Amino acid sequence: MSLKNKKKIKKITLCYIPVIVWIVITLFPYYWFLNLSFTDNSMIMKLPVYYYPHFFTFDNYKKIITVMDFAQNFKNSLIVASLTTLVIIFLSIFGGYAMSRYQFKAKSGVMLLLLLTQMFPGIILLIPLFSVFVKLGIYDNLMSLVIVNATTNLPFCMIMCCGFYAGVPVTLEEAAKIDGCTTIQALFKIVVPSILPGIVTCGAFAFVNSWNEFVYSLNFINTSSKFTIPVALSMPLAIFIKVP
Amino acid sequence: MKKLSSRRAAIPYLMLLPTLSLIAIFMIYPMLDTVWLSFQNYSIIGGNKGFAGLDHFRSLMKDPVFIKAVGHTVPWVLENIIPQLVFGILIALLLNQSFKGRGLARALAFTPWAVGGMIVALIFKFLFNGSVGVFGDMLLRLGITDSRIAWFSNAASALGTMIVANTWRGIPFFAISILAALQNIPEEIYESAQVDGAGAVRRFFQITLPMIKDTIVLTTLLRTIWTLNIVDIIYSMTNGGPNHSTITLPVYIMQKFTATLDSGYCSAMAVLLVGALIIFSIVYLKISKYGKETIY
Repeated sequence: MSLKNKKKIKKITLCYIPVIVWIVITLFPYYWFLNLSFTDNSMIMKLPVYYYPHFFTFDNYKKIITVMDFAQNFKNSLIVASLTTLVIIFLSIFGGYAMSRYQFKAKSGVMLLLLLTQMFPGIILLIPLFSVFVKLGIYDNLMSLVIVNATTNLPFCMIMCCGFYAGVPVTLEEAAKIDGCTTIQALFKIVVPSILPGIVTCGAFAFVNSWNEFVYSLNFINTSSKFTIPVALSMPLAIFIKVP
Repeated sequence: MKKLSSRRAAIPYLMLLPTLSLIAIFMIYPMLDTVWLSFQNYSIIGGNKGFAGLDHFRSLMKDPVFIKAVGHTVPWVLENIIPQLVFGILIALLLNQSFKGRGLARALAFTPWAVGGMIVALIFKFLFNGSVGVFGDMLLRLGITDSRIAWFSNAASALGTMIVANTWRGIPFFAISILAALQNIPEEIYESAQVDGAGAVRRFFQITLPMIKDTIVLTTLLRTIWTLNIVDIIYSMTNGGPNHSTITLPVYIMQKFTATLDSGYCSAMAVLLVGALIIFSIVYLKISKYGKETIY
């Protein structure tokens, strides 16, 4: 009985307490912003500091819609992130399939290239891409963000997809081809459905990254009505006050 | 027959064509362009004023902010990576145990990974606010300090706030990767070590650590590159200040580029940054003997 108790105490001190402490640390910043978001704006910068919404109000949420053009920024972010995700998923399905199912001369070279692109800091693309987008006439256009996000996230997603394809037995497609499927049909009717969870992971990765992307969005977009959320949040609020 | 097989050989190239052309046009070409630009007197406003040779590199050596930024770069990476790695391993070990609510705990612990750098910066800027920041308030209430700390007014504490913010956001990446590696270690190895009388500490250093070494090498390398690349957190929390004391090379490149649009000069900095990164990556992978050793 005492041994059982001792084991239980050990479990609580070594497992439950540290886990709970860690979760609290992780969640605290979220809690604090929730707390501030429900606090009356004029009281936020005043002492004492309240650890719960003492001056409770929904005003801040109303202001997002009425004063700041948040809906537009949200729409921009949504357009950029969803288009990027679609492009990446589409290209990763083909690219990953080619890399994992075919033997061809340039294969190891392509793989090396994909890995190398992950080694470069994105900041070095900023300067030359600026000129490229100006020349293409898509500077200050959301399409420039879709292109740059898709290109920078594509190599990693493709490598990920390669791994998922490797888990699907080749015999599955061969059977489908014997039954009369073309390569493309076999790919989309047999292989893609069986790696769907992996594709969703890829898509989530691409979406989150392009949703959060900041440096390119800050430099390639100049008009405030085209700002994505991260850029809008980095600007002084005065820019967004709607002129009635 | 020959025609058919050559058609088949073209399939993978066709499938890769769109991806490779995107990478070629929007990554490879710009990178080469950067190298070319670093030897030119080129500015977005002024146009090309001809070959500059090593002029940019020479004037960089005399640029006090550039020298400061280079000096900050290595400490900035180390101060970010080490706490993230140590906590990442601890959290992974913690979440690898079996307990009730493990799925939920994992999901919650990994959420900071999905929060954008800009949002993280905003949150922590407020948490560390000099007058109404909650961290200062807590220290005051606990009696550790007797006045509120102006975190962003001196170099060391300004840097500290960014490291805390970045660590909060960076731990999940290490924790997820290491947790995945931990799950691949067969349970039998631990059992036989236990039978042989190895204690928990010894099991960690002689089994767990060698088994997850490759993961650690790869994640620290990737994270080093990403940490070097961080602009959003520094840009919005301190913008390199006070007095350039927290500036890193990428932030300086961006500041300089937005202020002057001097492509040549900024490209020269970018070239040096990438050169240093390539040398570092090669040396790091060599020294750590990545993928060369297994404990079997």
